[in-house]
Amino acid sequence: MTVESLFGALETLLTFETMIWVIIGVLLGIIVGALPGLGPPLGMAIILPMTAPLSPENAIILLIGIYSGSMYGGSIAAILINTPGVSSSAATMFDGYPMSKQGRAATALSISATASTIAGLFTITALILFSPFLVEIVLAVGSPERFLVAVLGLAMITVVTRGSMAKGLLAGVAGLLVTTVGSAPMSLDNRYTESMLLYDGIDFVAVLIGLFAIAEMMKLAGQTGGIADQAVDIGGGIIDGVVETVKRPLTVFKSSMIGMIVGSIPGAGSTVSNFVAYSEAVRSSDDPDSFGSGNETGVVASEASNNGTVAGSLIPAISFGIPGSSSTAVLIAGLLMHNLRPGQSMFDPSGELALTYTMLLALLVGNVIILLVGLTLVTRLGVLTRIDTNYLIPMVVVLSFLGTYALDSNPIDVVTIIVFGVIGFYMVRYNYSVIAFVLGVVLGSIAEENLYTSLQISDGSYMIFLNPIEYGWLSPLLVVAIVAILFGPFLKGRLDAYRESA
Amino acid sequence: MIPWSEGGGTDTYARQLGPLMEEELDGSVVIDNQPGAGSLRGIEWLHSQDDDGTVFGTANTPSWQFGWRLEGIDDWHPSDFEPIAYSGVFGYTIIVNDELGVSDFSELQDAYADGEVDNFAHQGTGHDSHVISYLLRDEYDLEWETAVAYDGGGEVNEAVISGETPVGIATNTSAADAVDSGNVSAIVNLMDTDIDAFPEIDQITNYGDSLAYISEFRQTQIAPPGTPEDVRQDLADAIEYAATHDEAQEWAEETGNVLEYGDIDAAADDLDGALDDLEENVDFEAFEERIDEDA
Repeated sequence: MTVESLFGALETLLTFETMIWVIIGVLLGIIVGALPGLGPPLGMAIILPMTAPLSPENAIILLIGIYSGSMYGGSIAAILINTPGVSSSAATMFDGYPMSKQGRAATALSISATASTIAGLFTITALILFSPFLVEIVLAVGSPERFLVAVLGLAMITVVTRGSMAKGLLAGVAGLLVTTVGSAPMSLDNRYTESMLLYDGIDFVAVLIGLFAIAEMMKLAGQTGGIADQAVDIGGGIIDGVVETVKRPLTVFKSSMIGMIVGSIPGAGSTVSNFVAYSEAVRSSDDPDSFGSGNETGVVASEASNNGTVAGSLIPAISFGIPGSSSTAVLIAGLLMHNLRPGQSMFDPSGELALTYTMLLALLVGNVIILLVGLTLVTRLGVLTRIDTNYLIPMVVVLSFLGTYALDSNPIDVVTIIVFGVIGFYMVRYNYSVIAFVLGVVLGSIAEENLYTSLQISDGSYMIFLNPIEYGWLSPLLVVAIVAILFGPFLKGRLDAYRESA
Repeated sequence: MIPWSEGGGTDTYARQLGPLMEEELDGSVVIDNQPGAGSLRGIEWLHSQDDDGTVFGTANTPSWQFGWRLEGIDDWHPSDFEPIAYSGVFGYTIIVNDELGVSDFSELQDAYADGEVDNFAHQGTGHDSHVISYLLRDEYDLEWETAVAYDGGGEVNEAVISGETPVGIATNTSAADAVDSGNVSAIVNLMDTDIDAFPEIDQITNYGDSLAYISEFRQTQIAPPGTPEDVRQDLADAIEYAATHDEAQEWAEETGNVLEYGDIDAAADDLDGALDDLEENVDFEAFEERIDEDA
């Protein structure tokens, strides 16, 4: 059955129409990735409502193509103008931009394309091979585990927050508050539903479009001219880049695995994996001092990890509807919009397994496209960073409004993107974590519903989350993980202080 | 106007019948999805539209009357709408995880009575399937201890398949999906209409009165208040043409959906009777109190 689904998926993928959507998706992804300020969540969020007329397969392929393409696209701006096109390419700047200044920009860009592709091909293949076992895991995850995974995602706020922890927590709690609007899942109470427009609460897709598209455009509007003004000379050998990457199989393997594992943790995403992989490359190097001044290994590690993250982050997204990152939050919205519910049926041969495989195979093809585009158009890619914001902003804003209204024809969604656009703009300006806010918005309802269902099953006993004998080992393990994430750094600090005093 | 999202059951029907209606009407049929508030938002929107027949909608009777009554909406009344026709039928069944070894409703009654199973899955607090859960316990001797709320039919399917809550309520089409997973059976039909996909299934009417007043839904086409009868008759003719067309019937057989045409008068009778039947059989105030007590 599984093999049949795989062949069915291959058949779907190899149609002309579907292949066109893969190509469009990846190319759009490379463009939004390369434009600083337009990340994959923004690109995906404004495209999302426009996918309504497409078949579910093509819609998801388009979205995931953008996600994957942008991971490579982000390196273009990072290497050429020392600005990460997407936050997950931040570590690429450390060695990519110095290479560029040394006249080796083309080499750095082709390293990025090659490492991205190899990591993508490797992790997606691993995911396809692993998928028959995922269904067992998904079925073992019931309401209590889903609640705890959501709480784990919320606990990750303490990890993803940079700077003030109070601000991170505040952002997360504000996100949770947004999910309380609408009819309550556990009682007949309605919250703020004087108007029927708010009966189902605030649509999280509209929130995401506001946070990522409108807020970013407001920020860009404050700048003048193109995103990058200086012209960049693209020199160096393209083939050298491929050779440099292939010469470092261990770095590619390790970084893509780091990407995949970190990506599968809710809330972590490619920004985290990117730095973890880069740090690991520095740590394990014989010559750590050469990093930061144009060491090819740094670019390989950073770019392999962010493409590996794509495969990893799909695991919680399609298994439980829990996002590993903002991009996967939009992807989940896309699944729901096309009536595909994340869960067991996504891995069930009689359910949506063929679609899941089509999506994964499309990603494999997408990675090959990245390589082809990366190696053939390398010298012309700089143009993307010089698009005038006077054209860019109106396009994105109009598309965002049109797309949002098209979601449900609900006027409240249009109000939502304006309100959250303004909120997002000030959150970024005053260093409140947007990802913490998104985690709250996406996970709030999942946590609330599953907590309620779990307590109904256990007749009100909280032991359902702790008792391994009656309810299985997964819940207590998740509780331990949550406690470790929340209190680990605190305990470690106390322990260190104790050791020092001793 | 379809008051549910793209890709849902009611939307699928509409997209199937729309192009065929165009042939008969010699005009275009545009599907406008206005989802929200369990279909009430779209229906409320329809209430305010022009009464010249350019806008009409599909509402699932008696689910929308149930929602309207439970929400206590004052601004409009279901009887304000003008009937056009009905075009399809669907409704609830009970699905059971095969590990329970139950093949019909009487065996399920025994399983609950013997304490082999305690919980019963429904599709959300205040949902019509929640009321049916209470009715099954009060009037059909299904002695569950806890009615567990899930978020919609998909989650109920998953809970029954995984065995977390091994018994639950599912629409006939969603039950067919669950049965395809290999370890779930549909054991009793709660509607009066037969389900072709489950020819051997037990009937709830073997154990008491019909439950169809709350467990069987017609996809009723309704027009804004004041829409003249001649305009509605034209639409009804187009719906009849579409619903009885070979192409549509073939689709229904393949997908396990039930297409059934009812004319203007049948739709009118249905609309008139739906709310009265609900009031007669369901004590809404007592139901709300029980939900609060159980929460």
